[in-house]
Amino acid sequence: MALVQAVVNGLLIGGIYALISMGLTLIFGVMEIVNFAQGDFLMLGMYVAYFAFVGLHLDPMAAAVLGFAALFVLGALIEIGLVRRVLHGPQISQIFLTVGIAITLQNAALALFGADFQSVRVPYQASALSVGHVQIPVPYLLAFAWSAAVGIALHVFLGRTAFGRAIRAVAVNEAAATLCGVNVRLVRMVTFGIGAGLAGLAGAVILPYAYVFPTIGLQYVVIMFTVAVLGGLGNVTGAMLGGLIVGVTQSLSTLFLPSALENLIVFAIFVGVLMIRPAGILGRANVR
Amino acid sequence: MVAVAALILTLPLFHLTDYMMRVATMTGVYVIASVGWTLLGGYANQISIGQSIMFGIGAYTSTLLFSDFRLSPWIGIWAGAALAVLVAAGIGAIVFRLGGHYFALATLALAEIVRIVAIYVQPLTGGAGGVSLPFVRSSLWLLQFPLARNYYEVVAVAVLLTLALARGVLRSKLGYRLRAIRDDEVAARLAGIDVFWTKMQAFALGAVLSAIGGTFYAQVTGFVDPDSVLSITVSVQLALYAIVGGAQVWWGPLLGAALLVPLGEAMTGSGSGAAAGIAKVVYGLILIAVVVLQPEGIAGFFGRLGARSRRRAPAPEGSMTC
Repeated sequence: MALVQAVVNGLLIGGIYALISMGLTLIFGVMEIVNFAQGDFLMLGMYVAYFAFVGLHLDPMAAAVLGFAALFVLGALIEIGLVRRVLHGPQISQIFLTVGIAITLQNAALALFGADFQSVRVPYQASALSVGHVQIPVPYLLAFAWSAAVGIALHVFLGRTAFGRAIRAVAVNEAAATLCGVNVRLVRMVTFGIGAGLAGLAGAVILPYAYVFPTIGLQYVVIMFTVAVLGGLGNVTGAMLGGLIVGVTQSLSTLFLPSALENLIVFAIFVGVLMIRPAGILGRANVR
Repeated sequence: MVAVAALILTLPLFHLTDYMMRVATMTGVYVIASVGWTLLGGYANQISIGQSIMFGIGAYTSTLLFSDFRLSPWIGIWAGAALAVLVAAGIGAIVFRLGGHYFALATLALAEIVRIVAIYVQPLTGGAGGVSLPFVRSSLWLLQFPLARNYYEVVAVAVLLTLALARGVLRSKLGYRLRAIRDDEVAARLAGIDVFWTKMQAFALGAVLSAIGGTFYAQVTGFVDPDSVLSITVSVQLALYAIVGGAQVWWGPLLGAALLVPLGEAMTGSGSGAAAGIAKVVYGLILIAVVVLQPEGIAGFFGRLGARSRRRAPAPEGSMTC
């Protein structure tokens, strides 16, 4: 029974990992930038939801829309002002630009909001559904539902809409996309906006069960890289699958390892995947 | 080099306060460790975000040998360096075939693994709480002094040796090979360079330097914990100093650390959390400004010297030719 429970817990948390990592992998697929600030976008999304709760009494599940919108705008601005300038620059700039953004956001949050842990109180916080002997905590279930809905929406957006096709075209071949009349600059801006927005949304929906503080992003950053690399950097479908695998792995490892080591296996998988199959389990890295 | 040496060695003559000497010492500590990152990260453009592993190994090894066995840090420093070389060899064997972003990600993950393990093996390392270095008595052999300036004198000599080594590497065959790898790894391989071995030499040598920096850090601060020596922040810091100063010249880490370490200290001086936040916001903004405006760091502004580490325009993408 503990096994089933652990798998359920892992799937619930894995949905969130998938949500954050989809943004990361989308950005990499389109512009080959590894966004080290993705965890900090998540942190900002949490603060957006926190202040929406404190100021407007808005439930985090509704504030998720605000979190997406706010981070979409921030991401688009960062793309226009900064990322665009290093896209064809040296690799050191590409890597350390987003590291610099991460440091800046983390510490700006520290200066503005303080180092204290903050949380919200919602009515469904402690409730859980019982299915047989398996407990499904409601906050996790709601967060998972959001992740699943957004994952499906993103899949449809990329696969079925004209703009989604344009994004995939830029990911495959920028020059050819330009020749076909795709506005590559707009695609990059919107892609970075969506990538950041997904992290912002994820931040909002986890707020009912997680504390927010300025450096919370660091807890997620290596996990989301693991998910994205496991699924194949640039592969959105892969990120969904990778998120669930990492979530379940982490959860199962707590059955036989001390919880202090729950991330050890995840990171070992990360390094292992990089060694054996850098393109990820689903193969070639491209936005799909 | 002579001018730099003169400045570093005569600094104590300027009647600086104890606090200023302490800041200067910390700057020196980070210069040594940051040069350790530059050998592979700057000279060969193999960008790691895991140099904290080496810094942490140096800091923990000498500190534990001292606190558990009263072994002199002068022995501990080389024990730490040797352990760092072993670990570097193991890591290098795993990650050197990865390029670019993947190399950075792999080193980041390995650094996190080391940090988690260090926190977990609490009986040995003191866990998340860290280890304090007991003050036994003032002695050069124990590398413990009553005055900030005594630490400075020891660290200053180490900094000079480090810089001489960095300069020597840059001008040696190894330096040319590293730059060949930076310019084009495939071309370097075709030119007969053993790419793996070249990277390994630079990584191992860098590991020694960063580990030595770690030992000095522990001696000067008297306290080691995972946050201060094994966190992602440390890895970023060591790269940051080199990048801001100029990662492709031997004096880059010196310039970067000399600007940023005192800046950080001055702003965190008041001690409150918000002030520390603002100090690091400035760090972040400087890093962003440098990589966007002048990826070769401040060194990039010195045209003549920059010409020595010849810049290449980013290669046009094949698909862009039409």
